[in-house]
Amino acid sequence: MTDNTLLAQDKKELETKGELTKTAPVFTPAVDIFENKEALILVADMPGVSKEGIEIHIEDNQLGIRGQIAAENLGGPLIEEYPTGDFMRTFTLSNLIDQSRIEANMKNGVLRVVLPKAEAAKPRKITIN
Amino acid sequence: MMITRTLPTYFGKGFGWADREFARLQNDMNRLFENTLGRGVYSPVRSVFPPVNLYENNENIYLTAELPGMEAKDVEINVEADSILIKGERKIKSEGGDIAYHRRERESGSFSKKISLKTRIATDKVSAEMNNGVLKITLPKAEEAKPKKIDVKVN
Repeated sequence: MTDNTLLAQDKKELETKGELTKTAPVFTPAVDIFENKEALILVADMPGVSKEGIEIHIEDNQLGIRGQIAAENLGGPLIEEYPTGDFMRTFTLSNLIDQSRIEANMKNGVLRVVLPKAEAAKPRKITIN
Repeated sequence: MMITRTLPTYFGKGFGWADREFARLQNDMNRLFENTLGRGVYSPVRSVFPPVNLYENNENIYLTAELPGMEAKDVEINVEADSILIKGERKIKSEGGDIAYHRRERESGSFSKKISLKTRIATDKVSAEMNNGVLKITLPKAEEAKPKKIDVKVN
């Protein structure tokens, strides 16, 4: 894993059905989603977003994550290889998530959301008599 | 290597069909790129990771790069009077053995990028910080590169 070289990727702009009220571009963060026995875990890259700028909401089975960047005026642009803007992405969760115990933390521009599985959804081994 | 040959002049007439065929082919190719990329501009050149932005005011040049998950100690910065080198490795720590991925979009790996500057930099005053996964390097301009205000006396 150490000898691979990172390639620059274009940021993906969010495509929404409804128009956004702000005209500034909004991007979809790159995410890893994986599960273990206890929980589904979502990790999202949201560079420039502080803990205060994160908004997570759950409505029905939709998990929405949104990150607002703190815009800093550094003067006139000379080179712009990447665009900047807020991040937004929505996922549909299965019923088998215990929505009351969802936890999140933010560190170095990476959001981590832990979505514990409901008791009924935990894997069970079934023995046949 | 490409070899070009000049056609003898007596072939000067009658090659219009080749031009037309070529133009048609070119149109088809353009349409193909427009369809697959959703726009007419096809740019095969990708910048080296990480993409950087440069900003400038009278005193400084600022360089920013998005390196989520990385800390200041993970990045090596070398500054010369007219260029800057950023090196590092983005690691994504293992989440343990007993997991199954649904999506895996975040990437890890090493990078090394050199950026040439048109303005000379006071290399001894360069500072860098990392905030929420965004690297920001402050490059103070060398004294001779700063804009100067000249007072003109009117008699």
